[in-house]
Amino acid sequence: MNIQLSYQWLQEYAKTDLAPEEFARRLSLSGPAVERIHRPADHLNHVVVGRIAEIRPHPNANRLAVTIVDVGKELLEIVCGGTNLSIGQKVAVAKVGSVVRWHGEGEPIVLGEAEIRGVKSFGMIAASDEISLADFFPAKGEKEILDLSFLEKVPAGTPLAEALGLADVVFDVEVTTNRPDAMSAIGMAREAAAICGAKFQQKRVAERSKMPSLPSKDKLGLTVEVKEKTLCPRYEAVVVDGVHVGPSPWWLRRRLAQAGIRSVNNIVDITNYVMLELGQPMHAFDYHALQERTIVVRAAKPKETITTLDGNTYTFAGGELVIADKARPVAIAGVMGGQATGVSSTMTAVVFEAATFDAVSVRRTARALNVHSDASLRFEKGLSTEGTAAALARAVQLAREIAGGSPASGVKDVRAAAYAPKTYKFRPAKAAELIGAPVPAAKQFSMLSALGCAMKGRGAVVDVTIPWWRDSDIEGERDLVEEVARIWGYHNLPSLLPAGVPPIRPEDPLLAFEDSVRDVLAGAGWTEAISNSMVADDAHEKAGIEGDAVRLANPLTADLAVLRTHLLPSLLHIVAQNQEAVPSSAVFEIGNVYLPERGGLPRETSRVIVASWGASPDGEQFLRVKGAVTRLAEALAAGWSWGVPGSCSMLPAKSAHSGRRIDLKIGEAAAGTLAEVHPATLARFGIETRVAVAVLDPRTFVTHPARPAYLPPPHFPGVKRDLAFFAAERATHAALLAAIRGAHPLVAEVELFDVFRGKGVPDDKKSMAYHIVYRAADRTLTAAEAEEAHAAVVAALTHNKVFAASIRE
Amino acid sequence: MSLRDALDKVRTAAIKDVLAAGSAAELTRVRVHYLGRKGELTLRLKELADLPEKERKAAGEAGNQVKVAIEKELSRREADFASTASAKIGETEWIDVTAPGTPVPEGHLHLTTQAIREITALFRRLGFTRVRYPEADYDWYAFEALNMPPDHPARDEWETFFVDLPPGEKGKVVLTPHTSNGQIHELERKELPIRMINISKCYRRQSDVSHVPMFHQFEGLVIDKGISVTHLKGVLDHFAKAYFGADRRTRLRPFHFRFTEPSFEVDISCDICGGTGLLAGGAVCRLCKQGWVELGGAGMVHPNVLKATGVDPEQWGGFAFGWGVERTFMMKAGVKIDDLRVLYKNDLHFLHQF
Repeated sequence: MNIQLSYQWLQEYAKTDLAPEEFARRLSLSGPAVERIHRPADHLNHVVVGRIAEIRPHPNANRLAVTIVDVGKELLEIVCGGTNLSIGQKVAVAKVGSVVRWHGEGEPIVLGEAEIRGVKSFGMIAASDEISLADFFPAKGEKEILDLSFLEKVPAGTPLAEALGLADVVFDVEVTTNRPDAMSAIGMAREAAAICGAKFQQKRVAERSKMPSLPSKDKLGLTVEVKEKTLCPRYEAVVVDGVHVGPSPWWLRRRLAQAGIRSVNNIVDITNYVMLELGQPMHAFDYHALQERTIVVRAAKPKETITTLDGNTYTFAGGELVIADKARPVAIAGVMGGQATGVSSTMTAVVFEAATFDAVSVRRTARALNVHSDASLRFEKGLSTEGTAAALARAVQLAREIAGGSPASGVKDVRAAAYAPKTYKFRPAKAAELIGAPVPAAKQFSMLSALGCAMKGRGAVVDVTIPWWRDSDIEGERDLVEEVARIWGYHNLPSLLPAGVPPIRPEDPLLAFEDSVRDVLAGAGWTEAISNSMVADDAHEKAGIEGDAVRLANPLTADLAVLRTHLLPSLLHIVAQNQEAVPSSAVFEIGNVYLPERGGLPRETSRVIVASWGASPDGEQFLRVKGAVTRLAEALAAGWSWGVPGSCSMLPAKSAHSGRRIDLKIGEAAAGTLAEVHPATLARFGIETRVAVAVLDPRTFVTHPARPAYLPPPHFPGVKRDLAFFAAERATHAALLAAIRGAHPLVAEVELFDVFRGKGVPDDKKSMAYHIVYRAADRTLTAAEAEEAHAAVVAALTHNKVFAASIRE
Repeated sequence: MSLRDALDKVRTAAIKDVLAAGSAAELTRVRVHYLGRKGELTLRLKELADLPEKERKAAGEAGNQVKVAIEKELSRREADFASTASAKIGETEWIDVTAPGTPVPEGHLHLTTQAIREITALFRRLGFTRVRYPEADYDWYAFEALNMPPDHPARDEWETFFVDLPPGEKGKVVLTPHTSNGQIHELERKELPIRMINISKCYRRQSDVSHVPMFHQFEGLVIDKGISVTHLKGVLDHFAKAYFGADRRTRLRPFHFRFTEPSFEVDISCDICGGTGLLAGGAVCRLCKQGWVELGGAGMVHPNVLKATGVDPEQWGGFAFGWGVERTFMMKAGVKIDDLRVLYKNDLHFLHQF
């Protein structure tokens, strides 16, 4: 969570005169990080306080006035369209040379002399948003200039930044969730003290945490009852009577605005101010609106409702922690107060609440009702029970100071248990070892001490008692080491590589295989895709994939509702999306599928899908994918072969073209299936072209890795012969190949180089042509030997009835 | 005419023809004419067989001399022609070198794959081994053993995907929102010391220009004896400089994670403003925070994490880091993707760019 921290406010509690940049740098290196540095005064160069001395109508424009403004050493003539001008009024004058944004919009511009409808104007009387002060002074209407008349004693001509006390620096600080104690001016002052050696102003803190004297007997009675002590370990309240609700003084409004909080009225502002200063959220109730002057901290009953300060009405499910009076919930504990008992302009007595609520309970309630506040964001992080008293005292002090109230009751303090500070064992030698620098023990103790810890003993093991504001954050010795390490400064440590022997561990063969597939396919012109592991509810069914899929209990959208059990739906989705722009292409994906397992985690199984799409009248897409799969098998598998035509182990049979599919086998196991996707399946994905895919199971490859073996090159030349013949349309290459190879032992190499149908080829036939090499390992063949082998091949083809082959001469 | 004279005549004629040949082709014809199977010289030499024994030897020698002489002259001329042809090859075999090359298939690896490879390679040279652990896991691995108590905000369902399966002995099943579950799996193997880099898909319930519900992280884990913060600094400094450039500076900034203590945010100096926080001309750099950009989290492994896996934290210690792959490569100069969701939509116009 980021907080906006005024440097001046911090300096009230930690004495430092470091330049803001240096302060920010040092804080960031050892504590909460300063992300940005804002200087509100930078926007206010050449902007001064002016007093309107004279107002005349503009001779040429009804809606404009010509004013004479006293800016100290001179009087300026300024044309102004403001609707709330009056003589004697203090205004913000942006002089020539200042930077303004017209009507608070667009880019900042540098103001020059101007002539407006024939009258010269030397500057402008600014609205708050024109000089970047809208946060401080929200304009109530359009064309309303900033009325600074509350600056009664400020002489005309004073630079505005000085007059408003804005010559301050505001740090935008990221405070980690474990440090709610640092989300305040005093908390950051403590950090500054420990990190930069700034002296912490303990005396001032003590003074401001002291409860003014209280009446010995309640003038206005109040009963506090806590029914849920686990969820509310401490609840403190006090009644202040005789308050006048009205606007806050400027110094208070300025501090709230710098922190990004809107000013409401003095009582509400006090509660926010105390939160920003001490980190303890507060609430203020209208005392007389509380029924039977009773506060009950309890669980909400089902269907109870509350209308909160922001005007929204919430219905409780039951069990949420609420602050109630005798009749109804009056606040969502730690989140937001109710309207019925909120601070009103006419009320005269206020109940200030400072309490501690269970972090998880506040977070869950705020989430469930979807209502968040500066208070809930702090409570969610876990606050100590020991921060409430000082906050209550500070609020009462301020109420007396700026709202004229005085305490009318004793402090009601209900707590679950007496406070016991936490103590942990700490070994400075162990700390130095983990940090990797010889930080002396004495130095470590002084750092911990600066952070508010108390040490008992000075030996190898000491007892460290931690301050209450670190209750929820420091949980053991290791946390104390971190405190020492960060104050010492990570930037002071050397950068070293670990010594020791690197563990020898073979690379996971599956990961290596996946990488090889990527290399082969990308090298062959394929493009890698990565799709979401989550797919739509009906994606599997559309792709014809049966069986259960693992569902998400809380999907983000219906498109991402189940874990995929197959890569086909993702792939078809890719084709559907790209087919129009890219009519033919080739992609692959390697990713896990998630197969339901009875009573266990889904089985995460790696899969490869290789696909191409485009026209495929003669199975072009099929062959394109087959080429790629062949390359993969040759490169990565031992003992691979093609299954029988029509086999379909790894794709749903109904989604695979029955005439264009075949398994890839490694050993006896199916390692994948290659097929064109059935047009009916494609249609369900809106795909109008043809798609061929191969789905591969990497595990089968990994268990049969290709093992390069040395085969001596042939010693004797072979005899090359070509053989062209007509064959029956359904005579397959695989069968012909087997027949040729089996025809004679001298057949050494066979390669199909041409398939042709059409002119000169009988209608039910195809023309096929093979290169054949005849070779013997131990001699050069004679012409007669080669002829004999060739004749055997011819006979094998022509005598086979299925092939019905006839040799072309 | 004696055979001698006849041979001399052939020699004279042959050499004259050789010298007169105007091209390599003509020269070949000359060679065939005299030295071919039915060439003039060849025929004369065949006549030698008819000579009486005693003359045959001398005549044979003479014939051979003629043959050598013609050969020599032929070779010289052939070499001349070859060298002339060589010199003129640029003219005779001119092609249009500005014509496009024969297309080579152009494949593409996904940007994320490229980043994973580069990251893996950098850690591999420091002795890390790449592993991959489950994406759907029990919350014991994803949270509990990582020192995240049951009420930790990260375990609430609005940030983590829960899988609709009955809880097992090790809790509910979640889609891991980080790769840190790999730390627990790795520690459970009980093979110490450890230098692991776990790269896997992760899932979080968010989707906008800077978040995708599925993304990748790389998780480093070093467990050994005598490991200190200085080693974490050394390893991550090396990675940052090797990956982003030697001129970049890094810093460790205190941060908070449940499973490391101390914890850090690792920052790297901003590439745009050179780490100054200010652009030329004095404007504030909007891409960084006071000159620094966050790289990711890291920290010293929390003793509770070691205890949860039965490793003695008094004996062993180490550090861990888990960074987003996508975030890391997006921060590398040159890749500006304004909407992260484009990464996994698989638009070929996108995929073909990398």
